[in-house]
Order: sequence, then C-alpha cells, then structure tokens
Amino acid sequence: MKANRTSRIVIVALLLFFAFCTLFPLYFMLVSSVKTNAELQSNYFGFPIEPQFHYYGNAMMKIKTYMMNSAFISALSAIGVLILSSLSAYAFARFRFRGKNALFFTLLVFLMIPGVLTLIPQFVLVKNMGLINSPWAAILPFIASGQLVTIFVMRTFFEGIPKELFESIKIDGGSEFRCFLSLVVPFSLPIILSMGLVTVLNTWNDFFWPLLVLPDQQKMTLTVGLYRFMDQQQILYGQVFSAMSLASVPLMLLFSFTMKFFVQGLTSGAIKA
Amino acid sequence: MKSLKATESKAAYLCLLPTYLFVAVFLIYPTLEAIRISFLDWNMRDYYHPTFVGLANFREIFNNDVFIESFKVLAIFLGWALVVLQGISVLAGYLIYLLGASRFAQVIKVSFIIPMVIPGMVTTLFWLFFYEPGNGMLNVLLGKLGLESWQKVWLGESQFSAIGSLLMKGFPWISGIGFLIYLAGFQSLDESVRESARIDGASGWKIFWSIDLPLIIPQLKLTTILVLIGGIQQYGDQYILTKGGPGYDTTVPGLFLFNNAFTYGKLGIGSAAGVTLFLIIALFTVLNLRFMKSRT
Repeated sequence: MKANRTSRIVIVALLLFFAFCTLFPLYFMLVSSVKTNAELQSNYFGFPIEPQFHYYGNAMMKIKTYMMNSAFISALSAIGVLILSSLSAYAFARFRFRGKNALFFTLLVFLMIPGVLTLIPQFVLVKNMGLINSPWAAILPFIASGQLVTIFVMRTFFEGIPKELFESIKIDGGSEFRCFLSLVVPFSLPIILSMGLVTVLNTWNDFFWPLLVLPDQQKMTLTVGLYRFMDQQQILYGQVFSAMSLASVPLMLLFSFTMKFFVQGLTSGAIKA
Repeated sequence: MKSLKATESKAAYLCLLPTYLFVAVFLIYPTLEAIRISFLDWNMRDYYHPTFVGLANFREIFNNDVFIESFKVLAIFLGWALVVLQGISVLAGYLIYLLGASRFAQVIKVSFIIPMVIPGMVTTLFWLFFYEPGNGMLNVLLGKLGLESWQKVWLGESQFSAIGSLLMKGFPWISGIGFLIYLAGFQSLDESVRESARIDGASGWKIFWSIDLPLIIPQLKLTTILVLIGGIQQYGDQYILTKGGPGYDTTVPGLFLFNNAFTYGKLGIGSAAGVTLFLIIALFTVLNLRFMKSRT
C-alpha cells in the first residue's frame, strides 16, 4: 500500500508510543483517584487493590458548587454567543445595507485585539460595574469576544443556503423572521451546535478571568476551584485525583455525543484560537 | 423599492446592534482604556486616585531586568512551540495519513482527540503532580529505575530544569487540532501525484519533502501566526507550575503583566506591559500579512 512493511512497523510503533503517552495520564488519574496515600506509595502504577470509592463522594461535595457555577456560566455564554452571532451573521449574509463591508471589516479588526491588552481595563470595568463575584462578570465578556469568530463561520454557512429557499418562504408570505427560524436555523443546526460547543469548551476551560472576577468560594468556577483544591497542599492524593476525574466528566459526556460537530467546529474555528 | 431597501437596512442594523453594543463596551472601550491606564500611576491600593505620569511606566518597565529577561524566556517557549510542537503535530498527522484508512488509524486519531476535552486545568495539575519532588511520578519513576541521583526539585532547582520541565509538559503534545488540520491537508492531494513520483523512483523521504510538506504550507502559515499570537500572551503554565520561579527564571511577559497588575496592584505598569505586548503582536500580524501576500 502506501508504505512497505518495515516502515509500517516503525509508524505503528511510533504512533502507539505517542498514544500511550497521551492516554497514560488519564489512566493514572483514574486508578490513583481511589487509592489511599499508603497504597499510592506501595502500588504506584498498578490497579487499586482496595479502591476507596468514597473519595469520589467527598470530592463531589467539594466541587459541586464550582461545577454548577461553571455550567451556568458556560451555558449562558454559549446561548448568548449563538443568539448574537446568528443575528449578525444573518444580517451580513442576507441584507444589503450601507456600510456593510466596512462594518464587517471592523469585526475582523476587533478579532485581533489581544486578550493581554484588554485584561486590566476589562477588570477595572467589571469592578466599576459592581459585577465582581457575579456570574455576569464572566458571561458578558465571554459573549463579547466569543461571538466574533462565530459570526465569520456562520456568515459563510448562511450564504451557502440556496436563495430559492428564501424566495419560496417569501412567496408564501413568510417574514424575514420566519426565514430565520424555519429555514436558516434548521439548515445550519450542525454549525450552530458546533460553535456552541466550542464556546462551552473555551469558557469551561478559562482560568485567569474567573480567578480575577469570581474570587468568592461560593461563586468560583471549576478550574479555579480545582486549582485552589490542589493549592491547599492536600495530603489526600486520591481525593485530588477524584476531583480532577469528576471535573472531566461533564465535557466528556457532552462531547461523546457530539464529537463530529465538535471537530468540525474546532477546525473552522481554528481561524481564531 | 426604496422603502423596501430602507426597511432592509433597518432590519440589518437592528440585528447588528447587540453585537456592536457588546463589542463597544467590552472590547473597544477597554482597548482605549488600556492605553490611557498605561500613562497613569494607578495602584489598586489607592484605587480612586490615579495620577497622570506620561511615559514613566514605559520607562520603568524597559529599565526593569525582569521584564527584559522575560522576553528571552518567552523566545525559548515560542521557538519550542513553533518548531517542536508544530513539528510533532505534522509528524503525527503524516504518520496517520500514511497508515491510510484503517481501524487502527481511527483508534489512534480518537486517542489524540480525547485529551482535548479534558479541562486544561486537569492536565496542568497532572503535570504539577508529575514534577512534584516527593510523590511526583517523575521522581518515583527515577527511583524505581535506581536513578535516585537524577531526582530533582524539577520546577525549582535551576532555570534550566524549570524551563526544561515546562517545555516537556504535555508530552507528546499532539492533543490539539493541529494534527487534524495537517491530516486533512495531506489527504487532500490526489494519490496519483505521489504514485507517479514513486514510479520515478523518489524515496519516501523525498516525497515527503517535495510533495507532501509543500501541500500543507498554507496550514502551516496559519498555525504559525496563531501559535505566535497565542504564545506571546501565554502564561498559564508558568503561573500554575512555577509561579515564574525559581526567582524570575521562568517569568514570561504575560506573567509579568499579571503579577504587576493583580498581585502588586500596579495597574499602570501592567497596562504599559500590555500595550507593549499588543504592539509586538500587531507587528507580527502585519509582517505575516505582508509575507503571505508576497508569497501568493
């Protein structure tokens, strides 16, 4: 085929090695999450002999609030991003209006504003708005910056919808809003979903912004909570690893159902990164 | 007809309004503020009394050894990300491509995708544990191999070991979208081109360099600028793993900014660093656009 036998063996070996190194941390995290410290010492890499499943219960108690906070922030950010960017993308794809190209170009410019530049003034802004320790301190800026790439991706997608389909709705007396709801949304559901997932992933993973604006123990997001958890010089490794495993579950679940959209969306969203 | 156009415009502006409202408040205004704050002596402890100091903040950071040194540290991380991290993603994409469509290739692909949905913090905390002196995996592994003399406080002993440990964090680094992009690039070429090269007696190595690699140049250009822009702003690993230490040995400009603004409360100094980084990023972006134009 494409490679002869020896080189094929080398390729397979190399890929297996990479895959092993990639997945080993996950294996280690899972087996260590139910080991006592003593067992971690005596049986470092092996399967747990006396699994301490109650570590998961304890860890869950500690991170439950953080997880709810993160879920709320990620969900609302994704909804906000999708609403704002589908509206704008629709306007750019469908309507003719004065300043259309200029407005679109400015969006491209905004996309290039780096986070390091806006970090401090955004913090000052949110602080002056009195939003510190409110989830909106995270949600609103996430929407503002998350919508831009999504607009680009969606516009391209919306423009690909055949004009005749719009015409037929119009002829039946349907409004623009009708076009949007019953044509554009169903037609581009995969891309809408994937952009929503990308937003969830980005917001769920963000660390520094929630660290700054949500310092309260009750308002903290999951990433910050985990960091603090580890920072306390926790003596119980098993519990730390339980918390880390639990923290990975929601995204794992979400993405196991939607992997196809997700990869698609990430590749198209690569323009931002 | 004219009124129709007017309603169309109105509808369009109405649709765009929320987007631009958010952009104005959370992007444009902060951008202007960043520049203004960089001219202020403004401390979090004296929040209500900022004073205008002109370019003093810039003078201060450019005379600050920590800030200057942080760019050398940054250069190491950027070089590593551009050459090694990109290289290994290209390699992984190419190897998977060479395997062709097989079940094994599919399994390997998925095993590189799974870590993407693990929260970055979980991965980073695993590596923090990996380097931990007492029970960390690296020292335990060395102990089991009888190499006790090699054990170290990896993240704190010297600049060399701290930077080295940070660079090795995340090995083999394939869990990004990079390799998927490259894989798609390699797969886009018509197989007959490679076939004819093979018939002409070209080696596998030659085919890679002269046919396959040029194929993904557009992707490489894109990822290069993204890695640069992202890399200049990156300080998460340093913050979590080394706190920029030992001393300031692993402090990158982004961390300098963050610590000044939010640990010491010097908002003016932090903003001056932010504006400086922004100018560097803008320079890279412009150069990149020029470069892309001249080549196409």
